[in-house]
Formats: sequence, C-alpha cells, structure tokens
Amino acid sequence: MKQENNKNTTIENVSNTDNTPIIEVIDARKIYKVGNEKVLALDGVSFTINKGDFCCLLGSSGSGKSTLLNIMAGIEKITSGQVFIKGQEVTKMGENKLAKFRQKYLGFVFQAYNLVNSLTAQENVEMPMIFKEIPSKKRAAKAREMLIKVGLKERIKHKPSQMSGGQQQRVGIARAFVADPEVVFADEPTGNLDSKTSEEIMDIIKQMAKDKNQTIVMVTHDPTMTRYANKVIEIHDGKLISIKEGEIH
Amino acid sequence: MKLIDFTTMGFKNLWRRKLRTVLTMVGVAIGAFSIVIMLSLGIALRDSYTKQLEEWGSLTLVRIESYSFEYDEETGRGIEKKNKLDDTMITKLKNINHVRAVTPLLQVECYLKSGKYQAYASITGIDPDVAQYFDLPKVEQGEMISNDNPTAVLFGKNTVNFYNPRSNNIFGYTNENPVDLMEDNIKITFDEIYGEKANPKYSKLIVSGVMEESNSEMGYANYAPIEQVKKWYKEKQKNNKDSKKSQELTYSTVLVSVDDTAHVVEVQDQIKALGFNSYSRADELDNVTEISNTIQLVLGGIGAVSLLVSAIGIANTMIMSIYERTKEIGVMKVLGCVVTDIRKLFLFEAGIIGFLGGLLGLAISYGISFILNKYAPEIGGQLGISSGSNISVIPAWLCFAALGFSVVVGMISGLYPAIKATKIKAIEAMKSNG
Repeated sequence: MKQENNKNTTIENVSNTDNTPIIEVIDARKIYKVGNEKVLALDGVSFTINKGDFCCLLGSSGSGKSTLLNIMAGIEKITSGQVFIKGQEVTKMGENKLAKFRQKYLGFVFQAYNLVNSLTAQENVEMPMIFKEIPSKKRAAKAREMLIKVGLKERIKHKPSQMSGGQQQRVGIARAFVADPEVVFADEPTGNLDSKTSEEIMDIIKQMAKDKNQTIVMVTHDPTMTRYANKVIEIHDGKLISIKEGEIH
Repeated sequence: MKLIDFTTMGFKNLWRRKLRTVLTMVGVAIGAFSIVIMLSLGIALRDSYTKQLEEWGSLTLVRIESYSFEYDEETGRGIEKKNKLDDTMITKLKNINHVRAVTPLLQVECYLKSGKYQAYASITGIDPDVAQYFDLPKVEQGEMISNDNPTAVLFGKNTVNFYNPRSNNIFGYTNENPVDLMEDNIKITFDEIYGEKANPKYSKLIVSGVMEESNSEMGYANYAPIEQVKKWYKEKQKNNKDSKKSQELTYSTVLVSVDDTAHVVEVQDQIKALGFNSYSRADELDNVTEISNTIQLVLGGIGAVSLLVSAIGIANTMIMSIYERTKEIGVMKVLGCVVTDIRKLFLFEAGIIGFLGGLLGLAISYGISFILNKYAPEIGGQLGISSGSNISVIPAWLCFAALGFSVVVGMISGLYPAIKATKIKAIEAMKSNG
C-alpha cells in the first residue's frame, strides 16, 4: 500500500488541485426540539468542498459535526439553509429522490461498521448494488474485487461475527466505494478501532479516494486524523471556527 | 430492487429467525387446514347430494306439463287454455337460447300377446333424432329407435309384465318374465284395451332393443319414434267411439334439454314467458346448494377464525422483526434503498410466511382428508352422506384458493408492519448503539 502511495503522488497532485466545488453548504441551521427546549445544533454554517478533496469535519462531542454530515447526506432534515451536491439541492429532495441520489453519488462508512450480521462480507458489499439493480454476476465480481482491494481476499465468505473490528471496517469501506460514488461520507470511521488499525483504515480510505478522484467528507473528534485531509473544517457549538486548506500529509 | 433479490433477501431474513418463522407458519398452517377441511366436508356433502339427484335424472332436463283445461283461479270453473303444447309451440321452445333439444312425449296404451301370455304396456313417443339428450338409459340389447325403422319399440327393463290369464295365481304374474322381448314372437294391438273389442286387429311387434335398468325417471318406460306414436294414437282415437277429438294434437308433456345446468333457470323463465309452468331437477339442486352453502359458511367460518388468529401471529412476528431490524433498515436507506423496496421486502416476507404456512396446511389437510375417507366413513353416514361417497373432498380450486388466501392473509397482516418499516428514519443507521 505504501509503495502504491508513492507511485501515485503525481496523480494526487493533479487531482487534488481540481477546484470545482462538488459540495456547497449555505447557511445551514439545525434546531432540535428537546421537550419544550430548543437546542441549536448548527448555527449558520457555510463552506464549499471541491472535487477530490479529503475534508475533515473536526469538533468535539456535541459540536454539531455529525449533524452537519447527516444534513449534507440528506439523512437529517435541515431547519434552514441549503446543501448542494453536484449542483443538486439535497435539502429539498424527497425520500425516494434522495435514495436514488445516494445510489448514484454517495457512499457511507459508519463508526459502528453497520454490516448485516446474517450476510457474508461479499453479500454486504453487494448491498448498494442490489438497490442499484446491478445484475448479480457483475455485482459478485465487483464485490470480490473490492474486498481484495481492501485486503480481505481470505474473508470474502466470512460473516461479520467472524471478523475483527478492523476487518469489518474494511468490509464497510469496500461497501462504501463499490458503486463508484463521487462523495464518500465517513462518520468517525476509526472511532471503534485502536490506533494501529485506525492508521491502516485511513490509508485504505485515502488510497481508494485517490484512485478515482473521489471526495471524502470525514467526521472526527481526533485532531491527529486531520493529517490525512487537505481541508479541515473545525466546528464548535454549531458554529464554524476555521477552515484550513492545503496539502496535508 | 429486482424480484430475485427480494426473494433471496426475504428468505435469508426469514431463515435467520428460523424458529419464530416456523412457529408463525404453523399458525397459518392450522388456520388454512381448518378452513380447507371444514369446506371439504361441506363440499363432500353437496357432491353426495348432487350425485343422488343426478341418479334420478339429468339436471339439465326441464319438463313441461300442460293440460288442455285448467281451473280459473277465481271462479273455480274449467277454462280452456290459451297456450297449447302443440308442434308450433315446440318450434318456439327450440328457439330459446341455450336449449339443446326439445321433444314432446306422447303416451299410447297397447296390448301385447305372446302365446298364452299377455300384457298391457304403454309406449311413449319421443323424437329419436334428439333422444340422446334426454337421459334414456343405455341400450343393453338391440339398438336405439330411429325414424328409419319407425314401428320398432325400445323397451325399458322390466316395464312389461306378461301374465297368463288362466293361471292359478290370482294376478297371473310369475316371478320370472315368461316372455323374452328380444327372442319371442309378440303381437301388438291398439284396438282393444281390457277386452272391450271382440276381435282386435293384431300386428307383429317389432322390438328395437331393451334398455339397462336405471333409477332415472326416464328409465321406466318404452319408447318409439314420436311420429309413429302419433299415428297409433290417432288410430286408437278413431277406434274409440266416445272420443270426438279429431282436432289438432296437443301434448301433455314436453321435455327440454338445456346445454348447461347454469342456464336451466334462464330457460325456465323463458318457458314461463310462453305461458307454461316447468319443472327441473335444478330446482331441487338449488335447495341443496343453498343448504350446503349454509353448512360451508358455518364450517368455513370456524376455520376462518383460526386463520384470523394466525394473521395476528404474522403481524406480531413482523412487528417484532422490525424492532430488531430498525438499524438495518436505517442502513439500507442510507445505502440507497428506496422506500417502496423496503415496503415490498416486508410484504414479501409476510407473504412467504403465509404461502409456506398455507402449503403446510394443505399437506396436513390432504393427509387428514385421506384418513377421514379411509377410516371414518361412518361419520359420513351421520352427516347424511350416502355410503360410498367421500366425506371430505378437496377440489383443485379449494387447494389454490386456500394457498392464495393464505398469501393474501399474510400480506394483509404484513401491511401494517411494512408501512411501519418504511417510516424508520435513515438517522437510525447513525446511532452508535445496537
């Protein structure tokens, strides 16, 4: 993996300097109602993410970073403001349109992996392609290819319960990237892993994204994770603190 | 999602909760089984009644009886009927929709003699071209009557009893018929009945054939072509000095054959419109059907209650499964599964429980039905089923209906859980617990 990394350095430089915005967040505001009290989770956040960016949403617990990710992906409703992905207003889409949009353009890596325990690694990876109605042979081949890419050649037929956390997250990554999404959202993907495994996982994510010039939006509370990103958006109490850009290795 | 993916995914989901799935299915099976067995008893009952009725005569026959005089309902005096059952009316009857054939029946009495034995007989005229529609018993010996050989008579089994007038026996009858219709030389006359005429004109009786013994109402009679019987009838009238009737011949009985049992009532209505009352076995069948429908409704109702209970079981199982799969459904949504697919998946799973449960129920039903028919025929007697008939009959339609019904019950029970499943939010996928 490290060797490949070096080989692709030139490509990285080319791809990451692509300055067309793929995600635009305009004055995003989210208010939760807890009983009779209103909690302001996001307070007018605006920024853009360019194609090929590896963007980190950094913030402590309760800062509103996860809410922001959920809103960007259309998982949570926005109270006011707009989110555009590829020029389409995600915040205005209905449930079915959102589902189709996710099939086409979005991938997800979860903190708790969220694999279906009754299915094998391959079947889990096939899942998004099932929703996309890709023929089963093509699906199986693609899923295997992805699992080999994340280094799980020996675990293709294993169930999640027979795998370590790191292995499960690799399956999760294979699943997120299998349908060639343009944007992959990752919510604390290493939150349940030790530091060594975390590094491996991050390397895989970064490598995958680089290969196809995909955009990564990752939520984390861990400032050390920002070393993988070329754009870091820091959030505190629902407000945007800073946006740092540049080649970060 | 494609159908094949629903199928594999649905089955996998059911399989991972094997015990619960199987128990729910058993519930459906018991429901389906109760309905099928209960209805099969009712069907067997009706079948047995219908069979009995059919033995007495075809259900598609309509009989019109008409007398040239009838009583005025108000005055009680005899009035002449406006509508006569004559040849013109027969043409009209033939033109009614769904009528396959019409024949008048005309009876003429005759006197037979063979050696020292003699007998009285009645010959019924029937249209030989359409006689096959009128439920005559099979010809056992000889052949059917035809217009080519008009004077030949077809006899019913044991309809003519020859006796020896000089016998010591009071009635002159012997147990065995002393004359063989097919073999012996028999003379016939229409001139004389009960010895009124001294020297009746005899002619040789031509026997066309003898029919099988039958319980049918058409069985106990002797037949000859109607045109010939008309001639005999007129001849007899001529000889009978009292009779002044030389007018046009009217029939007292006309038989109508309908193409299907389902059209009998319709045809009877048409006959009524022509001014005649008619009678058919279908009238009786209506009563029998009504009774057996009531019985089936009651029996089926008992079965339906148990299927209702199993429907609640399916709903319960599916709702439980939604609670367990909340996160999974959330993940599916985040991964791009459209709401309709989630609904379909849950309906499919519920439908499969219904289908497999129904299948199991059918298997049990066939088993129980077999055992009932084989080992418990005496129960049938108590239900009023004639011996020899099955007490439980599962026709193909019941089999398919039960399966279809189980699937529908499954899907209806799955409807609420399925809708509930679609309401689960994608955000569930992001929650860290579970």
